[in-house]
Amino acid sequence: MPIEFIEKPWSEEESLACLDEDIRRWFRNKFKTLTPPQRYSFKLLSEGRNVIITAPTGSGKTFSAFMVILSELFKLSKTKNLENKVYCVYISPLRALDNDIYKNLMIPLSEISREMEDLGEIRIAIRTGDIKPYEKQKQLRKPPHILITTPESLAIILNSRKFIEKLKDVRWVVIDEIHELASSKRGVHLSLTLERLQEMCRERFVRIGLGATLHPIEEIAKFVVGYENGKPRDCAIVDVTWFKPFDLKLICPTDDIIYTDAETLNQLMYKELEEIIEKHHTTLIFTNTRSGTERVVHHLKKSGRFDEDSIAAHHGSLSRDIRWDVENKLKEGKLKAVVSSTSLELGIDIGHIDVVVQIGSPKSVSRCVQRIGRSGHSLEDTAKGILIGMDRDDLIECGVMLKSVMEKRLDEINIPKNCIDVLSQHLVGMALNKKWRVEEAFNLIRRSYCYKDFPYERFVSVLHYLAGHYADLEHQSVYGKIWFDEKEGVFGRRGKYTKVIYYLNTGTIPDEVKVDVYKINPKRYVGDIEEEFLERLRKGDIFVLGGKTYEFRYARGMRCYVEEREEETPTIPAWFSELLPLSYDLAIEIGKFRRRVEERLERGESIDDIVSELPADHRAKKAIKEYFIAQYRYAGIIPTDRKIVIEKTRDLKGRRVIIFHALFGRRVNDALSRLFAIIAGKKYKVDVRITVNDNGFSLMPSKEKDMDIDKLIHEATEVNVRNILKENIRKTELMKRRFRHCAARSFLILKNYKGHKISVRKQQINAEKLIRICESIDPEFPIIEETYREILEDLMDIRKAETVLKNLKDGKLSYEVIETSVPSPFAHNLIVLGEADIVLMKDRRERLMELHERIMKEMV
Amino acid sequence: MKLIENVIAVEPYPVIYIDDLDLMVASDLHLGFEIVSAEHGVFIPRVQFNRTRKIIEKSAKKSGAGRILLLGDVKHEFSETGYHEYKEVSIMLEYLKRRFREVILVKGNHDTFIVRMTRKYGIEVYDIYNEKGYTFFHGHKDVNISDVKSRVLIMGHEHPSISLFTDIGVREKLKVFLYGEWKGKSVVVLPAVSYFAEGSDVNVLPKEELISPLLRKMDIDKFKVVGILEDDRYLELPEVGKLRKYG
Repeated sequence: MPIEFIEKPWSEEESLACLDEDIRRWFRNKFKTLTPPQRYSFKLLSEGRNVIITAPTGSGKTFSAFMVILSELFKLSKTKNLENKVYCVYISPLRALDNDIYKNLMIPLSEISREMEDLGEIRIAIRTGDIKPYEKQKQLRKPPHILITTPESLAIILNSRKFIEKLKDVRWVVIDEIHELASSKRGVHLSLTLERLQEMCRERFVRIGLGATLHPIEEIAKFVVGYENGKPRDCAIVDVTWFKPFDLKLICPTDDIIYTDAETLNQLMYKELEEIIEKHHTTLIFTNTRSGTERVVHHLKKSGRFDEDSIAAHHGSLSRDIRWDVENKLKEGKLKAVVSSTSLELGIDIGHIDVVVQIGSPKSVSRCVQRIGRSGHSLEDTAKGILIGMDRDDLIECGVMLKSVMEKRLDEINIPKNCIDVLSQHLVGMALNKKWRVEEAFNLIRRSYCYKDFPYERFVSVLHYLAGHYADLEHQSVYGKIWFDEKEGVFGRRGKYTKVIYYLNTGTIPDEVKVDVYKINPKRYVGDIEEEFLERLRKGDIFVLGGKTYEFRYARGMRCYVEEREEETPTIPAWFSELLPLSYDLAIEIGKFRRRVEERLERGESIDDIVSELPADHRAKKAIKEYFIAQYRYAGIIPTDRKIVIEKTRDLKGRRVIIFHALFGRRVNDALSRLFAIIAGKKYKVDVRITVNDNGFSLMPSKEKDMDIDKLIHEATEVNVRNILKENIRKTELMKRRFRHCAARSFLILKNYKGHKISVRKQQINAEKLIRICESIDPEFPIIEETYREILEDLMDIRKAETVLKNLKDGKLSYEVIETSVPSPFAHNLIVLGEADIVLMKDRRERLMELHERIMKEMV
Repeated sequence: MKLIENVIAVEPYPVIYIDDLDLMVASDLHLGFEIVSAEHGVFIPRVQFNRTRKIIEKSAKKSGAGRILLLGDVKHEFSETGYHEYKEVSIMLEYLKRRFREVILVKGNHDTFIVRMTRKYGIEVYDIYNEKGYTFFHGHKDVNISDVKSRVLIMGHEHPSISLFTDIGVREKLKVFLYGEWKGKSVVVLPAVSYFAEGSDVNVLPKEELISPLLRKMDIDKFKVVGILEDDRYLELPEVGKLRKYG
């Protein structure tokens, strides 16, 4: 069996028998007992099997992997067989985590070595972007036996001619925090790195994958172990996700969530928060955005209830030193509360946390489990989590989420596949290694889970792109990153700068282009905004930056000029905000819950006991109950997992709005809303403004039109969704932004060249023009294809959207159209969301002609 | 389309033809843009050269021009010229030399070392060029206007454009010709021929943010505007001042 679930642990005796005797003695002295993951892993790893272990943070899962590895290294050392080479590679997504692991490995190492005489040195070293050249030199002379690194640094090692020699006998590769990596292009990148490393190694190495919440675990196992001859390599799965007990509660800060204004609600929320902090020794608070983190910290410090130094923020925008300082203070127990957006979700050592508070929904069960799992003094200790719901949709979402945690249901990870940009990077790296036969390289990349179905023709087209074959012959030396002879079926390195390009530009995290914001009078720098945000601004728009409101005046190059406007309402929402989308699985769970509620209401029965299933406080339950009843009384219907409700209504300004109560999460709704907007726009010849959230979407036609919903739905279930969306996306800002990211990952636009960081100004080529040029060369230019793929599959969820449409067609999903004069309660959050995006029906030329006409008319 | 007496914009191209001089004027070609970019790590495929040649060829055919004046920034790189850029400019000059009876070049701020190329083709290079009541200069330097005898000033450098917002908040940008009166003289500001040149939105930027020192002194709010739509027709628009509210 290639992928095998291990159902039963081994006994302590059996497990410990796998270790070298000195290690065993040390382990027995140090720990009372083995943790659950260790009772599985010692035996499995000593048998040399690939293993995936999913267990909560702090459960000793990293140790469960390393004890056997250390034991084997000790055995080699005792018999004087430990050579000067790397035996184990450990990869984590964070440098901070690398540092922690290093420290945690050094402890047993020094303690055991102290007890034993005549033991050769076992070396451990970190290799990340931070290390100095002399350290690299040292690592080359005396290679670490255990190398701790990041995915990006490992990819660079593959092209380090001398150092890679030391890795050719790697026996173990440990990948930590897979849940963080697998869902992004970083994971895709790593999957190819591992196959390239395997190709260079003399023997097949053992792969050990670790994660806190992994679902569906078989798929993630295949992602870690990869494929050989079209079949997944063997893997044993150890799943002890749920051995830690949870104590969960949802609270609502007010008795009356509808009529409490935002300011008061915030005050009440802070009151709750302060009380929680006071009652506990150390509280970890999660918000969903960085700006939210800053606001909460600011408030807590000002509250006067705590020593200012005992409250801290921790998020990705802070400098490494500040974060490090916060982590240390946490470990020393010096902080009352720390507020984080996502950065403390992963397994960095932070000492003891008594309680985790989450403000607003964390949007996915898995994330919820990871965050709350950070509390509890020891692993048997209950993890205590409190969610604070901030509006009624939020309350239901959080309630159902906690119920899912209790029922041990996680949501699925989406692993991106067939990414052309990531492949391009690795092909450049591979070409630098040696001359390849196309077939041979193609077989290699197909061993990665993410490329196992990658088509050959596409592979060849990527090689053509990388060889610069889109340029005329004379200029290919300027554009080509590899040399490729299609007739001979071989490719290899080209150009003296290619190696430097690979070193300095490897990686998948996009650089955002920042625009500096200046106040005009007196001229003063006030912060920066993303270039894409600037594109949306017009003179007079009010937006928020660093907690203050500004009026946009004009932009010049990479500078934007503003005036401060106190207490004005922003006209431009941060629509591309960092807000996380609701997972599809959780959305469906909420839909099911709604369905049960509706069935009761239809029969005129009480819903008290259903709502009571949610681990919520009295006020939260009351708010949820009232919300359902209000919706049912007003609209006579509740949208569920099996029924979409389409509500024709008017917004506060009396404009026609069509609300689709479609609870599928924003990734699915993003695709569905655009599709419906395009169909409606074409049919009725109007531009359509769309608003999307997790619970549904709304369409607002630019002219009053009575739309036939049945016809729209019928058409939507008949068309080729992918083609229609592609055509639409092509005209959006989103396309330009993502194209630039993909172009950077594909080395079309370099961040770094010839040793110089490329100035933002130089990167500043108009993306729209670049897209048009690429299209004129080939409508299926690899980077353009990848941009569409990324938007449709990673950002949106076109597959689930297609499932929804298929279910509509087959009748598994029904819909009902209602008409209301005022939007029903479930529609309110969508109505107040305001502008989101516009689906353009007319082309640029038509728009300009209309504008021209209007201007000329006004002139008369 | 007639902009002022004897000065015709050759629709739909970003160039003018001056009747009484039998002279076509094209500004800001920025040849070599892609190659220079590629050398800085931004690998834009080469398209500009052919587009530029097509624009010149077609507008020459349409206007019947016998002479051409390049109004500065023929090439893109400020500093020394690389091989590929040198070649691109050379081929263009050679073509112009063949196509026109006379080629005149007015230097722009990007045209350092251009003499190396023009010498080969016997092309005269000027900082300011005067002919029969017309004065031509690129526009990056201030010009003492009391020294200028001509009635008409023709300049480039600014890459003028306008931004317009539609009802639903979509921004559209157009390259434009600007023309108007200043101190008793007629002024025409040419748009850039270059495909890549990003322009100054003259209806959005305050005057002091314009890059041309001379233009900053003028009251461009009174200047008239002709926009170029998608390379296939012109849009006649009101004065800059009246377009500000759409920006």
